[in-house]
Amino acid sequence: MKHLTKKLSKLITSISSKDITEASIIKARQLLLDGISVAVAGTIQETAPSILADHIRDQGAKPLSSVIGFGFKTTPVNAAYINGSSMHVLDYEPMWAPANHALSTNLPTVLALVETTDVNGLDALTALIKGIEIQGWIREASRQYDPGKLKMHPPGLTAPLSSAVAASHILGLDAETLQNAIGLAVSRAGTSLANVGTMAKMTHCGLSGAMGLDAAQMAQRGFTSNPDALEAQRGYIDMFFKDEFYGSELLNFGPPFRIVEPGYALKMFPSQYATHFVISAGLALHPKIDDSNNIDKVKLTSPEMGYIDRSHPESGLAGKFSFQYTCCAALLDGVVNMATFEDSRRFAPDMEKMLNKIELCMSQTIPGKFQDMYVDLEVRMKDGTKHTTRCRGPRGSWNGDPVSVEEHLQKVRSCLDTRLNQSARERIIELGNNFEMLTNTDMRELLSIASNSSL
Amino acid sequence: MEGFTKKISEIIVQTTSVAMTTQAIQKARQLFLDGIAVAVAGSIKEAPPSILANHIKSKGSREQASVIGFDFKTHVVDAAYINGASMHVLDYEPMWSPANHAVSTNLPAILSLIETHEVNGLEAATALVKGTETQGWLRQCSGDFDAKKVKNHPPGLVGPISSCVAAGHILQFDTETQRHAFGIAASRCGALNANAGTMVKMTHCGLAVSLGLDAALLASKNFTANPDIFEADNGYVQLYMPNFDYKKMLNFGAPFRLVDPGYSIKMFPSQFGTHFVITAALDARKKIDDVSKIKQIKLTTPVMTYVDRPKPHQGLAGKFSFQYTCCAALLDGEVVIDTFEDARRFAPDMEAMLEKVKVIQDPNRPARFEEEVVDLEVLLEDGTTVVSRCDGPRGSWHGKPLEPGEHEAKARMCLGCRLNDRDTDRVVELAYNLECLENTDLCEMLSIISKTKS
Repeated sequence: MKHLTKKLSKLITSISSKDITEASIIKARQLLLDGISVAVAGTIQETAPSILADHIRDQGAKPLSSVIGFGFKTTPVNAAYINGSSMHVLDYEPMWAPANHALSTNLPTVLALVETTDVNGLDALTALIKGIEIQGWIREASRQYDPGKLKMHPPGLTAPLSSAVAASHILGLDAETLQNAIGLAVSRAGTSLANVGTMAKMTHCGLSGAMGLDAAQMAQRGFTSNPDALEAQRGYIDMFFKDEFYGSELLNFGPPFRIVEPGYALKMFPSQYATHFVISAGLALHPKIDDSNNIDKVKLTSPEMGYIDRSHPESGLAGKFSFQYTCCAALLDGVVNMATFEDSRRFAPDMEKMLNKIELCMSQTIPGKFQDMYVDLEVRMKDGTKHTTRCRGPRGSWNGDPVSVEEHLQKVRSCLDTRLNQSARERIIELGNNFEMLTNTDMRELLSIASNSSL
Repeated sequence: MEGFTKKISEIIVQTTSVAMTTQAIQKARQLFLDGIAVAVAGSIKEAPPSILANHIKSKGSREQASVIGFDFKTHVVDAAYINGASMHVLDYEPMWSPANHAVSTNLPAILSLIETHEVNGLEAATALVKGTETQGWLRQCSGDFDAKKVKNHPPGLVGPISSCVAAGHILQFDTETQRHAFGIAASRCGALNANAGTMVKMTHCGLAVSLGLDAALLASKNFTANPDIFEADNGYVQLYMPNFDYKKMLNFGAPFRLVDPGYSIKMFPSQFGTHFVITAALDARKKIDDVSKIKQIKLTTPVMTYVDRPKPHQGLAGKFSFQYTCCAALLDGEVVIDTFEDARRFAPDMEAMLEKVKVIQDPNRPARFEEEVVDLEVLLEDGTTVVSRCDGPRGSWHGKPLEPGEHEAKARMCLGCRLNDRDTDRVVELAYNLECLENTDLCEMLSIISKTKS
């Protein structure tokens, strides 16, 4: 589409906080609280964020923006890098349709600019909504719904651009500057799916978000790029979406906003999203099994998803990307939480034994799109009895039972509790629940609490 | 190929300065000098490096590594970013076979570590040889030689991978650390060709080299990734180089690619395909008494759409224009750094000449630099026609070799953009003895080239 980048930039800059609906504000508040709390937990539950935090702290850069959970400040770009990684590392942030990690790639950019500008709560939420909006439309326009169609990890592919959009709202960039920021950002897109299940995966979210923020800042300084970077020959679309892309759909950007429609799925388990179907099935059968020693065989039928077929994951972290491991954990423990993915659980004798009993059948006839997929679980006991169940959607997902506000707050509290005391935790929740009314000073308070290494 | 990442990592960490040949060292010296010199010139002759330098300087990071031409020090990763960008911005660094920018994507990582590590000249040269070696084989084994086939801008694609090898040499990686560094770096690859001819292009080289260095530093702190990233399902090869020849890459090592097939020193600060046009036009100009009598110009080239720019939107974009470089060579009888300033681009005689150029992109001509042929036909107002052909600019694989001293003159001219004669002499002297330098000598060199003016 001719002049797509230009038209899109005009449209994006024309959307202000006045266009933000009540429904989208409620969603954005929930996302904000979810993102901050999973980041707090991520900084302490996994080792990778602390390696990264030490690595960045070592730069000794200006103390401008708070780093969640590590008690120091650094430049906005660096802070977004670490915070995005911490927010993603547990794989506990919401899932999107089409599949993506839109929160850890946009929210850190917004947070990073709170302490360097005088942005208020309403505009911070607006920036978040706009960043998520463009990611959603790019994923939609590409029609890459099925994981089998994906070549790159979507956050790395879409986040430099979306983070530049989120940053541009707070920085007040005009359409032409945004156009240059987009051109800068798309030359930083990429990431290899082979790093799923390794420490490097969290940097896909952290780095891509940071790169988008950097692109916006450079454009603000007058750095220029190809102003038609999306539609140009050998540009973004040509490069990444050659087979299929409906560029004009990007111009659907705007109310009611994708954050509301089709919305997102809150994650109630800290693992890759498709495993939530398996976990839900496993938890459904758990009460029916009196003694897991009496299980003879477990048969799991799933869509074709090669990257989460890991019969013996090499670490607890890799267990987040294993149909087999998450299934065993749900059947054995009746609960799947952050402790499930520690190495001590992964290599416990009962787990090792159970992993040997699982047979995974990946069926080409089951769709791989999260909204349409299902899994079948069959547990055969030694006495010959059989228990079966099917999961069409975990709770909180598009086809599953809804997660109540109170239940989500339980998740938020359990995450914040990993580092913070009760009064700090409740203050964050109070601020989060009134986010659109917050002044810049209030948001700084929130960040200063979240950045504490222990309270 | 199962076990490939492990195997190539083993070969790489086992390649030490002992394996360096005299020829490889000689080439490394020349590349070192060329890279430093074009970076000094780039930092002052174009605007974007100073925007970038200000952007990075505002981070106020620890003063570890010198920034060429901007007289400050910053964190090692950031210094590599700016220096790589300055080294590339003029498009004046050597060209490789297959086409690539291998100096600005390796040398800055090495320069960055000089002031924080006890590296000497021989190890710095070895790191450069290993970095360019990695890039050369990646490009060779990909089979993507023709410009039409290349989707990503190659430095962005192979730069992070090679930069973590160059840095890994100085950080003394073992095999396992190199494997994880590759894994981290591979998730940071990419760069769009659509940004050729814009300020962003120089960041492809700068960011690639800095991200590779950052990956190496993270790996040295036990950050892990997929240790089999080349051959893994959804890994680097599958994603970017589906026809990759794994076995060939195991040839990594002496005589080294910087010797064979070598590189081409650039004598014009522009995209390499335009050097053929420039050479043909300079040749034709000798046969034309009065260039104001030119009626029409016909250029026949391979299909290289990204350098088909009848009216580049700025001087910088002129570096990627067959038409502009042709007109400049005909009008001025030379193509130099100032050719690509906006003042020249928008001068009335240039505007008029650009109207006269017609480019015919012939699909039968190979779009690979080693095989490129360009024909020029200039029709004069009196009806006479002047023709010329170029199948290789001087200094390239098929062209005449450079005269002795010609490269040094280029280096001196570039260094002279910021430095006085004494400093220029000293940099040239140090570079010519690279493999004998102590760490303190290298630090002296960096302190000279970081000056804004002397």
